Amino acid sequence: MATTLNTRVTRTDARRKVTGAATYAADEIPAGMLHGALACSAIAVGTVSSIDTSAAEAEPGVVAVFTHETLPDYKTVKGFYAGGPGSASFWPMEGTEIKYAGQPVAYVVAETAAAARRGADLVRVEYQEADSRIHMSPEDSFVIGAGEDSDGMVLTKGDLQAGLDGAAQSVDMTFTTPFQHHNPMEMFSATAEWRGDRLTVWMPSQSVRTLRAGIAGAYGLPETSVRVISPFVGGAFGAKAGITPYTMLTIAAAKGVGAPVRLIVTRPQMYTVATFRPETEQKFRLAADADGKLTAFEHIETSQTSQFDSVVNPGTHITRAMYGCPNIRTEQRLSRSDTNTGGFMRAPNEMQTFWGLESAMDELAWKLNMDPVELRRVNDTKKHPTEGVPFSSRSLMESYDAVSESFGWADRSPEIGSMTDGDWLVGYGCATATYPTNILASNARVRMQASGGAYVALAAHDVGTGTYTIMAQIAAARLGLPVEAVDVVMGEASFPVAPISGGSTTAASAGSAVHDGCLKIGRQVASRVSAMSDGPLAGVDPSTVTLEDGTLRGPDGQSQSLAEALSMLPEGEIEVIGEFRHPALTDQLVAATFKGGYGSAGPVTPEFAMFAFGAEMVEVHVNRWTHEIRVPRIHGAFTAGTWLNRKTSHSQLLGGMVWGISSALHEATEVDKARSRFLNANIAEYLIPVNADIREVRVEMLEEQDDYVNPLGVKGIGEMGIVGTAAAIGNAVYHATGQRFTSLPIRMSGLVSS
Amino acid sequence: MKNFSYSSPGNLGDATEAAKADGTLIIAGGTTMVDLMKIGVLEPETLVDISGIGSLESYEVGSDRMRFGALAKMATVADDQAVIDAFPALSETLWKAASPQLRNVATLGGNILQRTRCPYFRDTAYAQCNKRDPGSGCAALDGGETAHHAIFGGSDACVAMYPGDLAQALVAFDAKVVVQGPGGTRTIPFNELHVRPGDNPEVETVLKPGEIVTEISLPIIPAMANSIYLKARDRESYAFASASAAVGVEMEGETVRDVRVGLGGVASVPWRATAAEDSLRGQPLTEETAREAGRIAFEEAEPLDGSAYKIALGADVVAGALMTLKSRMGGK
Amino acid sequence: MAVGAAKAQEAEASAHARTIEMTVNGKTRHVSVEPRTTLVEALRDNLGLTGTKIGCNQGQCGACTILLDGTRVNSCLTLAVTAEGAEIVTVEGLADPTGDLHPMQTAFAENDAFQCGYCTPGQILSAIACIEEGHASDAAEIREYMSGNLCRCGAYPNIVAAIEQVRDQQEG
Repeated sequence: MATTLNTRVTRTDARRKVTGAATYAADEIPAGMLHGALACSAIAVGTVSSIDTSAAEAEPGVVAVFTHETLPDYKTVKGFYAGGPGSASFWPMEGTEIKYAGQPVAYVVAETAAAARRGADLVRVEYQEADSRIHMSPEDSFVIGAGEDSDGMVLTKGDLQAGLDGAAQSVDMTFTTPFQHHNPMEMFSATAEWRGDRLTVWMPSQSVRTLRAGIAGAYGLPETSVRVISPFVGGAFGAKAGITPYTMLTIAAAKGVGAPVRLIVTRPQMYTVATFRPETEQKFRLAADADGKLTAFEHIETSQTSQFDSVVNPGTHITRAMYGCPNIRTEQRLSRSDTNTGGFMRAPNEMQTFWGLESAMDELAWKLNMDPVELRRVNDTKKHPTEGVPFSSRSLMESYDAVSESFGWADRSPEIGSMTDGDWLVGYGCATATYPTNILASNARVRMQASGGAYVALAAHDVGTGTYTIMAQIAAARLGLPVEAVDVVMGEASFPVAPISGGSTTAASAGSAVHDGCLKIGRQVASRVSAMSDGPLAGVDPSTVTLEDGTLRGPDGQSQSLAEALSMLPEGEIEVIGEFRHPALTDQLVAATFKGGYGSAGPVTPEFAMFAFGAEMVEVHVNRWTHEIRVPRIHGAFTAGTWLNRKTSHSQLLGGMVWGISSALHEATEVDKARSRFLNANIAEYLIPVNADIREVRVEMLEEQDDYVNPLGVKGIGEMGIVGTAAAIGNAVYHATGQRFTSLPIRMSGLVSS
Repeated sequence: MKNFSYSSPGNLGDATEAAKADGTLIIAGGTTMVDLMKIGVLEPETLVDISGIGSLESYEVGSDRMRFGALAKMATVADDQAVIDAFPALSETLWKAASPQLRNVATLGGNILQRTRCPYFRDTAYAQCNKRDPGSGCAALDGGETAHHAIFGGSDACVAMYPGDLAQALVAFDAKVVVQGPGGTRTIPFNELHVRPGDNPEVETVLKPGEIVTEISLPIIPAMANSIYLKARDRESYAFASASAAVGVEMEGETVRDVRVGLGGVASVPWRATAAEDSLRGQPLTEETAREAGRIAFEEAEPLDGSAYKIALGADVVAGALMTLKSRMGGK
Repeated sequence: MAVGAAKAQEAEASAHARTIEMTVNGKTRHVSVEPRTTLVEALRDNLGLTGTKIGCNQGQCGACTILLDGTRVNSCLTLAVTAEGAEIVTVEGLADPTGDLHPMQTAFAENDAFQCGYCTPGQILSAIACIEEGHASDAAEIREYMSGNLCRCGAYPNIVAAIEQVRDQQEG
């Protein structure tokens, strides 16, 4: 009966998703609910000199118009990068200050959504405008922290100059990446309902515990007085992790009008009321000897941040882990400009840095006249290049070999422009994918009933990742049940603590807590039945009993199914809290997670460096007339320890690769420099791939064993697929056209104008 | 969205009568209108919904003309085999536009009147937009981002791009539109329907209050049968053109007898490249003459900083369209 | 300080309001709407049919796709008043009354043709129409004619596989 992991299991929530029965936050309509709408600032920097709400108030159906002067009991929290739960440290509508375009300036509540939005349009704001700048300036940047000793933000190993001087070939290249917005299909929303001092918030969230702890703290309420509910999330990608101004404004507005209020943030407003991927610059200097062995590796990343937060997503910490090299220097810099605070967007440290690193590696391979796969091979390393510890497992070249085979890399004709297909120039490109294995503490409630079935509850989230399904699979496999007999509930803050669904941690960390809960059930049941006078396990030392696929086994071949043993207990059921506390987790890190923060150990522990690896190969076509760039096929091979569900894992990696294609060729938040405003703040002109853009995508999931990362041997995969894809495409465009792109996205405008 | 009153007259007479009042706009498929009303760019007091006037939905491909009722749906016409056979470029301009859902409701009459995607026009937070708010200035020309702006037909007051696809086929192939208004019916050559921005970018067409486009028609000419709409865009579907060309060719032996070139994604109004056409008539169709035609098509372009790439891109698109037609015609 | 709406304004609002009749998933429904009320708002907020999702509210993403008199349309760009007398099918109306899923729903589930599931109701209705319209002859045509439904999770190849599966069942 036991369901094994590492198979293709259809999602347990599939039926709800295909019938419309899955309830996303904005689908909840509490009785008496009113509708909220935001009015946002037309200027980027300055002050509000006056707000005229009379026209808005006169709009039929409008119930209230709140401004910084009239919003009652509005609370704020500290920003994430200042150690708090908020999306930013600066809070709008506390005063008259405007620090970014599209900053909320008024909040309208009305009887219908249409009336609320119309009311927001009718709020008349006068400003005193000051100078602003939206783009970062690498010339006006600073090193994060205090320098060499500051958490690895600047790191030197060996003698970089010596490595450069003695090299056979070197590259010195600067790459850039644009602002990007997550644009989950589900629009941001928040619904707040007060009943006395008790508050319920429905909001799509990657971290219901963060929300609850932060909101309760802000209002001085016990956490048990605040419910945060988010059973289904319509995509998040990092955008739905923190407490945003629109959350707290909605909570205050609901209090102000004495009725539940639901705000659905408009798509254009989604560009300014929450986070985004900051624009960056990536400077690389790589040098190698004649055999391709790296002799020098320098990476300086400069990333945009707001005037009031320091967004630290240190990509250099990941790039310097990739290739063996004796002389390494990395530096992590920031540059301030006038935006809301950015944050983490799918592969926040990796997407932009691997665009640079893997493009530079390709260029180096060309200079060395070497196959780019072979360049990776000679620089593969089993030890972390700067930390000195071994990788807990590293199957980079196994990934390259598998994808080379599947893709037909050997058919590549190396000369630039040498492959064509009718009016299309053809190019092949490859790049390395990776993702650090982050480890967080987690708990999970597991209940098993002798009558059949189990119940798993934890404050984790399914943001499309298949979490409901894999949690059920883990419990089913351990307890010896069919997957459909395991009822999994998540997305509610009152459930046992689970980490933020970020950093590709949920399967590994929360899954390990479910696993632990099941083993605990085995141990407790074994201890009870071994103490009984009858039964297969009577008199056996319970510490010698193991649980395998739902069967308790004694040391001398005694065995009994767990369900049968459970039926011998008078309770007929058992409930435990499973716990995952990896030895690398300090008390401080555990405490951080339990307070709603991100208490991650890894990817480097005192013993090991923990990363998942993959390799991607793409075929790019460039039309000689239209200069359109298309990707007819993309293959990836990945290694990430144990695969829990080959169906949902495939979708995760596929989705990541589609994101990579998007970063390479499509998406960018364009800006109006003169007025410091995001320009294409919609989902028509902010291009993301449509169905027609995605053709053959092949994903290979290779076997790998890693006993160190966690008891399940699982590494996170939610973000790995995007890493390296843009470089693989850029490298293929170079192969097809001889044009080396250093800025994303690669557009036809760049192809014709250079 | 500002609230409004709504009526759906059952015949054209009532509709034109209702539509002539100040603050009244006509709606059919609504794909542009409802969008612009939602974002506060349009705030009509009254909407006159003409989508129920069934007589305007019919269309026919005759022996010497093809006629399309203004309410014929984009999807219907795009998929019609008679249209595809007679004028493939026209079908292509339709199915390469928008999305299936939009094409199912959007009408041909509405499509030719679609409004610019200029971000400064569409986002009312920008104080400057002469088209939206006459006399307020042009944010695009005042330090704005101009990658998606017109390189033909703009003015010091406005460089907004006409975004449509169908119009490029219509302008190049001598279409006419029939309009009905309170004063009766008149026929307007398609190339006179749209007005360049000049000093009054808020005026986009020669239509008078109450006038409704009722029919679009084209003479059937030989170049239609060998026609193509080549649309260059950064994603494969559901995107506006970075540059496009509706091109048709009629050969006489080895030389070009007639050729039509309409340009999209580059101009403030539907744009016909007559100089490029002239350069080809009487010439053989080769890669050299095709590229030369592309070059000539963009000779008079007036790019802005961000839109200079459109010259090289547009020229290659024109050449590519011509060469694709040549290869389709085979030895003909 | 904010104020409530005055009575005169409410009277004006109700002057705009009208009751329309539509057939939704086979049932006759009456809904009181303003001219500016969109069909998706009427379905979700008035009728409680929240299976239809709003992804952009600007006709750009297709999440709100429904069948209106048999054709797929974006319900966010459709004024509810224009749906007077129309036959509407939403995702809630696809499974048969015994709970058996529509073949397209089954195919989406089997092929993992979604991740977060938010665009899925719109994708499924669009997919049904795609076959119905005759735009599913091969994978390339399906991709083109499903390009009005954005999926940020990137499930596109699985969506195409689901549609091919249903098309083949119907042809077989």
